[in-house]
Amino acid sequence: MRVRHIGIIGAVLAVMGVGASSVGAAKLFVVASTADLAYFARQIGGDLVTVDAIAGGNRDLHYIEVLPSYMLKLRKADIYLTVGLELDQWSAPLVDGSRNSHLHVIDCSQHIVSLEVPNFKADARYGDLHRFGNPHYWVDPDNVPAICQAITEAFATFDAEHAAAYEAARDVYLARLEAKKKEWEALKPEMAKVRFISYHNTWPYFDRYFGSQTVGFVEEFAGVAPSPSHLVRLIERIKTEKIPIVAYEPFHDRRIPEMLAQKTGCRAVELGSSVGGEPGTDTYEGLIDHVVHTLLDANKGL
Amino acid sequence: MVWCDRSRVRTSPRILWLLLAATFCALAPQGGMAQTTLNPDISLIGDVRSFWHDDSTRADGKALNLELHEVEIAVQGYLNPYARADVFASWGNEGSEVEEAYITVTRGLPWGLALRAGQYRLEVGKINALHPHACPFIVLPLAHEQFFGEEGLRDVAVEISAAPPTGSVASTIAVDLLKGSFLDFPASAANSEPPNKRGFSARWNSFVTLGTFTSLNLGASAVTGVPAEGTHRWIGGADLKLRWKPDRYRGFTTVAEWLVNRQPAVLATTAGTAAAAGTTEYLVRHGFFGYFDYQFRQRFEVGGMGDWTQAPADRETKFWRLGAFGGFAPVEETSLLRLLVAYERNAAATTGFWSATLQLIFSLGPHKAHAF
Repeated sequence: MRVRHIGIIGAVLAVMGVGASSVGAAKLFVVASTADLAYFARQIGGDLVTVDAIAGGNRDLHYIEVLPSYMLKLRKADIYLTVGLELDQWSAPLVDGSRNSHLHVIDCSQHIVSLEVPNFKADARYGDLHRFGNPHYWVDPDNVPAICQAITEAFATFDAEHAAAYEAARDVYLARLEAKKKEWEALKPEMAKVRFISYHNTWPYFDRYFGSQTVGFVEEFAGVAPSPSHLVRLIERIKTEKIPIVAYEPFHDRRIPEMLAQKTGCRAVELGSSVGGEPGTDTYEGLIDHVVHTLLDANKGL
Repeated sequence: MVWCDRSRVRTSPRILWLLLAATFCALAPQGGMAQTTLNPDISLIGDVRSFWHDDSTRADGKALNLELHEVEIAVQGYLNPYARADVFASWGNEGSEVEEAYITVTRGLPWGLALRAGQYRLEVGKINALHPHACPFIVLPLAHEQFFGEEGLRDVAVEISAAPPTGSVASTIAVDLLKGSFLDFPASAANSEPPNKRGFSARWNSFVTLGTFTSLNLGASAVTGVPAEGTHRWIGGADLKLRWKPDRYRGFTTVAEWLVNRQPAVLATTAGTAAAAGTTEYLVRHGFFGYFDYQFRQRFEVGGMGDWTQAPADRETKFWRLGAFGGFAPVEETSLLRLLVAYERNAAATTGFWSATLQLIFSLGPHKAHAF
C-alpha cells in the first residue's frame, strides 16, 4: 500500500510540474485591480504590454468576491496594479492564491496626497472608514499624473529595455489630458454651482478639482445601508436646503435615490465613477465628461 | 444520533489564557507605530444560540434552551513575504481548544506550489473546511456528523498543492500527509493504538466561470488511513457549488455534496484479530446533502436544505432531514441573525422530531462572519 501511495504522490507532483508558470515572457503582462488603472496602463504600455483588469467599471470596488478565476488571471502576470488606500483589500488573497512568486504588486496611490485621513481611531463605529484616507482619488484629473508616474516607474523597472518608450507614451497621454483639462476648466464656474447628495462618499477629489459640492450622503455610515430615520432626516434636508441632485453609482440600490427623488422633487442620477461603468465612458476623459455633463444637466432648471 | 468524540484531546485553558494575554500585549502601543501596522489581524466571533426540539429521546426536549455555543478568536498574518500563519482557538460547550494552527507558504516555491503545515480542517467537500459560524444553515450536515464527528474532519498534516494547467478553468490539486487523528472517529475505533495511523488525503477543485456573475465549482476528495493494523478506512466525495452574485445586494448559491465512507464493520479493538484471521468485513455507507441560499436586499437571506445519510458502522440505521432557514444582518456582516426550522427522522423510527434553532453571530475584527 505504501508503494502505491508514493506512486500516486509522484504522479500528482508530475502534474504539478507541468503547471509551472511561464514567467519572463518578453511582453509585460499587467493586471490591474480596476478598469481605471487598466486604462492608464494601456496608455503608457501601448503594444509593449498586455493589460487585463479584475473589476469591471460597473462593479463596487469595495466588494469584489475573491474568485479563483481572478487568481488565474494573476498567475502569469508580471505586474499587478492596485488602487491602495485599503480600497481593493481583496487583492491580498488574490495575490496569495495566484501562486506567482514573480508577481510585483504596485500600489498606485504611492504618489497621491490623500484626503480625509482620519485623525482618530477609525473603527467600525464609523462604518467602513478607510484609515489612510478616501481612496477614490482617480476621479480628480490632477491626480492622474501621480497615478501614471507610479505605473511608468513600475514598467520601467521591470522592463528597463523599454523605459524610454514608456516615459514617452506617458508624456503623450498626459499632454492629451492637459488639452482636455482646458475644456473642463471652462466648465468649473458652472460646476461650482452644483450641490448634490451622493450615495457613497465617492467624490471629494472630484469636488476639489471642479468645485462642486457633495453636501450629504445616502449612507449614514460608509458602506452601511441607511437607516429609516436617516432617510427621513435626508428628505427634510433636501426639501429645506433645496438640494437638486441625488447621485448613485451603477451598483447601488437605485430604489433609495428614486424614493428620495419622488418624495422631494430632486433628481436621482446615475454616476459611474470608473471607466466603462456607463455607456460612453470607455476612456478616462469620457468618464469625467460623463460625470460633469450628467451633473450639469441635472442641475439645470432646478 | 450524534456521536461526540469525548476522547479528543482538549487544549489546556492555560494555553488559551496565554494566547489571550499575548493578544492584549500585542494590542498595546509599540513605540508610536500603529498596532494594526505591525501586528497580525486579530478577530473574535461569538456564536449565541437558542434552540427548541420535540425529540423525546433527549433530556432537553420541549424546552427553550439558550447557550453561548462558541467564541472563536482568530489571529492571522504574514510571517514574511512568502508565508502566512493562521491560528483559530475556540471556547465552546465542550471546552476550549485550538481548532486550527497552521502556516502556509504561498510564494517562493517552484512550479507554483504552495505548502501548508499544522493542524487544519481538511478540504473534503465544500462544508468541512468552513468554520461552524460560516455554515448558512447553522447545523452540520448529517453525513458530516456521522462520518466525521461534530468537530468536522481535521488533523495535523502537511499539504502540498498546485495549480495544474487547465486553461480558463481555475483548478487546484492538493495532497496531504495526515497524522491520522481523524481515524479516532467513530469512537468505536478510538480505543486502539495501531502502530501506523498515518493517513493521506487528496482533493481536486475546478472553478468554471459561466458568466460575469455566475460560477460553478466542482470538487472531488478522498481520505484514507489505517485505523487498526491490517485494516483501512476510506472516505470519498464529490461536490458542486453554483453561485450567482451580480452585486452586493443579491446572490444565489446552491451546494450539493455526496460522501462515501468505507470502514471495518467490527470494533477497532478486535479489528486486528479479525484482520489476522482474514475475516475483516467492510461497510460502505453513503451520505448526501444539498442546500440553496438566496440573498436579497443585501441584508436578508432565505434557503432550504435536505440531508440523508447512513450510519457509518451500522447496517440499518439511516437519517434524513429537511429544513428551511433564513438570515438577517441588522446593519452589516458584523452581526447576523439566523433561524433554522427542520424536521429530522431516523428512517427506522415511526416518528421524527421538529427542531428550531436561532443563532446570533457577532464579529469583531477583520475575520467576518461570511454573511454575504
